[in-house]
Amino acid sequence: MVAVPPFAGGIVIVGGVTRDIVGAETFADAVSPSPFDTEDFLPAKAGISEKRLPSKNGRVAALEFQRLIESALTEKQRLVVRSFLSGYSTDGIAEQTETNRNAVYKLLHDARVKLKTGFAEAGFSADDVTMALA
Amino acid sequence: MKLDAKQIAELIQLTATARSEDTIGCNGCFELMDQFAQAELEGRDVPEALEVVRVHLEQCKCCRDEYDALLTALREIEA
Repeated sequence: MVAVPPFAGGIVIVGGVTRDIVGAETFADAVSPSPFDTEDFLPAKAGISEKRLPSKNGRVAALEFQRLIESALTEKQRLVVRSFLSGYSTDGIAEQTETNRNAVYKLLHDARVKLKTGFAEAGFSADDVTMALA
Repeated sequence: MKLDAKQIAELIQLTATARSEDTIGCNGCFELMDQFAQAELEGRDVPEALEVVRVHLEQCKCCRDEYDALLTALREIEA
């Protein structure tokens, strides 16, 4: 169950489950107190023991993810990705940022493609990363 | 806020399933959705120009939910 961040007012429907969200001052505060904290990607910080990583490649892959997020994504793309992972739908993000679904989707889509391309260029497959962080 | 293991897994999934062929976005999908739905309902091969709708629907849950609702409504009308 993905933890949904607190937010003042509003209901977000995620995967058919309605959640009441109360708390934080702004949407941005709720999903990211600061720009996307990519240190979270280091397995140790995310609560995954580094000892479980099967290989040095795994750690390298995780660091590559972090590097891509920091350098390849724009701040808006990071915010949308962060919000999406926190449980907001694209419609939910559009409402909170007072934009529209198309704009939010484009940010999310472009971010995904950049990450995918970046990984391919660095020589990693999705399996490499999945196995590394499984 | 930390990303938990499940969120990292989801991000990996989002990355792995990204498709650069999705060029139309939600607005484009909306405009073409009824044509796509009709072709699907009638069991016809979807014209190549409309295949981008399918690609977008695979990537975008909000549009997919609307498409499912549209299909359901159209089927009820025809029944």
